[in-house]
Amino acid sequence: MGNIIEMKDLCVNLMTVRGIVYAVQGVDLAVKEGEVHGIVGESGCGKSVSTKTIMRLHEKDKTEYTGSVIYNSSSGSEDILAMSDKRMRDFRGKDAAMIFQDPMTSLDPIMKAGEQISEVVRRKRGMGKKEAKEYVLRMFEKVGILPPEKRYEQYPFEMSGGMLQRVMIAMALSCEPRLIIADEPTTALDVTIQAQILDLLRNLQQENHTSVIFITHNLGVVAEICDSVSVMYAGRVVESGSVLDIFDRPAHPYTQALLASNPKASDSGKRMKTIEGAPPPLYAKFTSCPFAPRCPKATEICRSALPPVKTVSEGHTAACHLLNEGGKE
Amino acid sequence: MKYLSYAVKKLLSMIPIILIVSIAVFVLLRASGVDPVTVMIGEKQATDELRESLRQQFYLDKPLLTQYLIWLKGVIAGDFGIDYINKQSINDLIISRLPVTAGLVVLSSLFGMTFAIILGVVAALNRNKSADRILSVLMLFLTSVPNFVVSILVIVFCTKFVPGYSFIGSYSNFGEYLSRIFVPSIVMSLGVVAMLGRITRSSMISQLQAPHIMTAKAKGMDEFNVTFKHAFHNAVLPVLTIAGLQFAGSIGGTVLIEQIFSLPGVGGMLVNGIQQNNYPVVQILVLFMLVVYLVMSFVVDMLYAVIDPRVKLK
Repeated sequence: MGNIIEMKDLCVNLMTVRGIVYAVQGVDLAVKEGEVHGIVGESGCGKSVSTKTIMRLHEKDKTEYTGSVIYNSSSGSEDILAMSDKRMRDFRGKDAAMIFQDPMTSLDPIMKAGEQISEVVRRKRGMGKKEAKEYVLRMFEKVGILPPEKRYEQYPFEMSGGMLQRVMIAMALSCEPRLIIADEPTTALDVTIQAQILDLLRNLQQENHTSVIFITHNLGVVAEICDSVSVMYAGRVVESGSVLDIFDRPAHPYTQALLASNPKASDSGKRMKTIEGAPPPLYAKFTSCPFAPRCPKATEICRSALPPVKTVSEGHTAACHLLNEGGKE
Repeated sequence: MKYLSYAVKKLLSMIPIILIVSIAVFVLLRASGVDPVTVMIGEKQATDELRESLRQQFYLDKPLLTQYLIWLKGVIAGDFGIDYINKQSINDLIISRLPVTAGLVVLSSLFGMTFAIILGVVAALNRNKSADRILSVLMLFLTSVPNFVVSILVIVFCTKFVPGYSFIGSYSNFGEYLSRIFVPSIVMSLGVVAMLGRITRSSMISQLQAPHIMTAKAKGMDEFNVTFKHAFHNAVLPVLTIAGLQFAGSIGGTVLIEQIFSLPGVGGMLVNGIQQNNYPVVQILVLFMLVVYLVMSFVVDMLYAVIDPRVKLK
C-alpha cells in the first residue's frame, strides 16, 4: 500500500500579533492508504497546525509554508502547498474532509443541520435539491442520526453534542473522501458518547477503506483505533511507528514519559506520574533538542544540537541523540 | 402560522405601553399649570362668559380623569381633537404633515441600513488594510460631527453649487416631495451609518473567525458562499438589534431635521405645540412618535424571528 499523504520537512510559520510562531518545524510524516494514523502530543505541539495544512485552512496572508505535502491519488502526485485555489476547493470535501473538535461551534448556528450537508453534495456532486435531501437522509440513518426526517429540519442548538458530532461525521463522509482528518473529535464529548463516536468512526473507516488522520492527546483512544502513530513535540515529530512499536517499544524519552504518565489501574492510590515542566513556546526555531530541558536522560549533546531522525526498526523512527541506528540506546 | 401568533402577542403587549405613556403625557402637560383657556384666547381680552363657554366646549370643567377618558375615547375613534390655537381639527393638520416625517424615518432608515452594511462588510473583508482604515476614520468623523452641523454645511453647499435646487417650502407633487426629503434623509442617516457600520464590521470580523466558518471552508464551499451565506447571515443579527433601536429613535431626530430644512412635518408641529402649550397637539404627537417607535421595533422583532431560528416564538 502506498502513502496517501507525505509531509516532507514541513514548516509552518504563523504571523500573530505577538510575533512569528514557528508552529511546525520540519515535520516528516507519511500516512498509508487505508490506515488510521494517530498524532499525539501535548497541547500546542503543532498537531492541529500541521494537519490543517493538508486542507490549507490557515489564514492565507498570515501563514508561511516551506517544505511539501504530497498527496498521492490515482491521477498522480500533487503538492498540496502548490495547488491552485480552485483545485484546493475541489480537494476539500472530495479528496479530504475534516472533523473538528467542538461540534457545538463548528456548525453554522442558524442553518438547518440537514441543509448544511445538502449544501455540500449539491455543490460537489451536482445533485438536485430533492436528490440531495434523500441522500442526506440516508447518510443520517447510516451514522445513527435518528429519526432522519426530524433531525434534518433541526438547528444545531436543538441537538446534543454527540448528535452534532454525528452530523459532522456525516458531513465529512458526504462526498466519500479518501482521507478524513479528525481533530480531537471526541474531546468535547462526554465519555459514553466518546465510545459511540469512536466505534462509528472505526466502522465507517473499515467499510469505506478511508484513510484517517486521528489527532488526540488520549493514548487510550490511540491504542484502540489507530494502526500507526506519530508522536509530536514542539512542532516536530519525535517518534513514529506502528501502534505496537510505540506502546511496547517506545524509543524516545518523550514517548516513554508520555506512556508512563498514562494512569493504570494498578496505580490507584499512588500519585499520578507527570512530565515535569511544560512544552517550550514556539517563538523561535530550535537549535537543540526541544525536549532536553525536561528529559531525565539529557546529556551535553542534547543541549547543543538538534537530534537527527534515526531508524529504530522497519517503519519505526525516533529523533533522539541517545539512540544508535538499529534502536539500541 | 407560528409567526402570526407571535406577531399578535407582540402587538397586544404594546397596548399597556401606549396607555401608560398616554396617561403620563396627559398628566404631565396639565401639571405645567398653564390654563388652556388662556392658551386659546391668547393676549386678547375676554369676558368671563366666553371663558366659561370655552371651558365647557373643551370639557375643561370636568374632572381630570373624565377629561382623559373623553380624549382617549376620541383618539381610539380616530378623532384627535381640536387644536387650541387655530381651532382646527388636529387630524387634518397631522395628515397634511405626516408624509414628510414618515418619509424621513423610512428613507433615512433604508439609507442607513444599506450604507452601514455595505461599508461595514467592505471594512471587515479588508481588515487592517487601507480601505478599512479610511472607512474607520470616516465613520469616526461621522459619529463625532452632529447632524445639524452637517445639515447646515449641506445646505450651504447645495445652494452655492447646485443652482435651482431648493429644500425649502412645501411640495405639490410626488417628485417634489422626494426631492425635499432625499437630502435630509441622507443627512439623518449619516450618524446611523457610522454606528451601524462599525457594528457590522466587528460582527463580521468575529464571524469570519468563527469555527463554523472553518467548517464551511473545509467542506469546500467557495469564498462567496462562506462570506455571505455563512458569515454574513450570522453577522447581521446583532446589527439588526441595534438598527431597530436606532431607527425607532430616528423619529426623534426628525424634529431637528425638519426645523433645519424647514420641512412641513410633524416635528415642527410638535416644537410649536410645546412652545405654545397647545396640549392636544403635543399629546397626540407624543403618542404618534411612541407608536412609530413601537412599530419599528415590532418590524425588527419580526425580522429577527424570521432570520434567527433561535428566537423562541412563544
